[in-house]
Amino acid sequence: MTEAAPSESDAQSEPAIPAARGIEPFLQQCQDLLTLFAQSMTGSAIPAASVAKFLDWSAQYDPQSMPALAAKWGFSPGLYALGGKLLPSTPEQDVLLSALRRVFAGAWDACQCGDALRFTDAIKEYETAQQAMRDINAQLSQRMQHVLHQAQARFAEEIKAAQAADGAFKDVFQLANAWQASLGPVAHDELQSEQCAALFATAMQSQSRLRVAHNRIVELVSEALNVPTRAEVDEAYRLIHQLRREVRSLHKRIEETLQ
Amino acid sequence: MNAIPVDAREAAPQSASAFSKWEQGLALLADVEEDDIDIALTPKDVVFQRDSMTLYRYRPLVESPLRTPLLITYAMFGRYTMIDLEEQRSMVQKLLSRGLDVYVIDWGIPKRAARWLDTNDFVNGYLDECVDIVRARSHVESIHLLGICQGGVFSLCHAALHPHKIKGLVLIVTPVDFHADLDQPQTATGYMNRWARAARDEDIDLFTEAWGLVPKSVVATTFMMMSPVEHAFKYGPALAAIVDDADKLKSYLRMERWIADRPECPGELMREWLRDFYKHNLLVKNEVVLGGRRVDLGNVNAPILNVFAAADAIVPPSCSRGLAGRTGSSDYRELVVPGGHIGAFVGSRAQALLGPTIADWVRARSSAPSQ
Repeated sequence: MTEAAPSESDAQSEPAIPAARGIEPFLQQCQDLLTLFAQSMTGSAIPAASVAKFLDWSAQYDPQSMPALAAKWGFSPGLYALGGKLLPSTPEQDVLLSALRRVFAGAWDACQCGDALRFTDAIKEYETAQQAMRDINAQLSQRMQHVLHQAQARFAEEIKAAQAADGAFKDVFQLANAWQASLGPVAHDELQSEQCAALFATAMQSQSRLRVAHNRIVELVSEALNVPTRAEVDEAYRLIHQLRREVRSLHKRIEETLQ
Repeated sequence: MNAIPVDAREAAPQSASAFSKWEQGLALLADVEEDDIDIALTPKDVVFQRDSMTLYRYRPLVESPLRTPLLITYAMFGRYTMIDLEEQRSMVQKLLSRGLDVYVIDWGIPKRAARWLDTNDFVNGYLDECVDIVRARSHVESIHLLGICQGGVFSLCHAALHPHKIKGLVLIVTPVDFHADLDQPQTATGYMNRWARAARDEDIDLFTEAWGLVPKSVVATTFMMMSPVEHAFKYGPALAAIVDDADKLKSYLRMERWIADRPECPGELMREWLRDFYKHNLLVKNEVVLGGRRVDLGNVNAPILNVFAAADAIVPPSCSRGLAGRTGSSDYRELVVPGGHIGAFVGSRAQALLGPTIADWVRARSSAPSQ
């Protein structure tokens, strides 16, 4: 049986997008879809600046980087490369990307590309959380340096006083104790300050966000491997715990009734 | 003149002496076996177990111990073994030698399944169950409770909710008014109070959700940050001073063993501890709700002995003192012991005071010895 040759009217009504065979043609197909989408936005109600930004962003999409990434992560090809590079983060582009995802979410899930995209998002969140943690650690280091400088200044005063009294440190323990006596009060002043409390609160928040981002990645991997996730196990424990509480309460009420 | 005035004539022999000291110390450390630094060796028997919790009864040291038993409840942030660290520094031994019948709750090492345990589970669940078991075993209507730190908060809440079961209440280094440090600021203490107040409720919720079961490393780091300089120097000059003394070195190592043996903390318990107790100070406001019942400190009518440490870096003395005048008890007494949060139990000065005073206080408010 031979395929009927496409008629002239067919060629005029729809743009020709060749069927994808193999990963590279498939990725090129994705690129073509993006281009078509961009063309359809031209002349629409979408602001020209947003269209221009989208075109600029989509030009960063590099289908050649996809095979290496896919091989590394073992994911099936698809629109993974959309997230393969760090996505632009301007508000307009984020809104546009969210809209794209909503439009194509079903198709992506059908092509089993949804997991890859969620994994990419999770990695991006982890990188953001890591950076926040680095920032807070830098601030904590700064405060620690400040404390040490102040302690050194105080220790210098102690030494001057010792020199003025024509004394000497009798042994290394006395020297160490003198240093501790200088460092201790300075450290305590810092720890008791409002600034330190606020910094620790921020550190707690950053650490928690990093942990949450880490958990999200583990959860996605667990889902992909068909292994119960931590959240599922926790929920099971929560239900068990709730039941145990209810049983204990019933036991108590029965005992009280019998008494 | 030297920048750091060190007498050079004495420096050389002192250095040689220091090296020799460390040499001896390293040799001692190499010879130390695990058994040499075992802790909590006072004999005891398992009475009851549920989940990771175990109720023990210490074997009495007298033939007829006091009829009204004493149940000790520790915090979830460390192991109960600190109250029986070693023979020379054991509050338990002091209590037993004075004829008390002593039980202790070991919360154990919680697993992930304990993630959802909250304050109500500890107070109206495990603790209440243990109280009932001890009452039944001793054939008494009420017993003495001794709570330490967070264990004291558990005991206080229990006494408020089940006053008929409590004959006497001993609280040691127990925070009651978590905001008392605002009115009576003290140096080098109360950091946890400040840090918790600086965190938003959402931060505390996020922290709980992120960890689920708060790792012991996070708890340990928090405690270390309350006295970072002291911790740093503990492993330097303080260790160097005793490293060549076998007995002191083993004593030091036993304390380190206890510090290292820290359990994880259930997330919900931690959430309530930070948010309801530390941040919002609901306990003194009588707004803590456990199992649908409000904890009203006015319902605590048992005699109370409130013990706190003069130099407590973790629980400011003012926070423990906040209990005064807030209960329905007509027999309230305070005892200040020298030392810090842990020093109150293991410090040499405190040892002579804490155990004997508690024992005498309990005896004076108990029934006659069992027949």
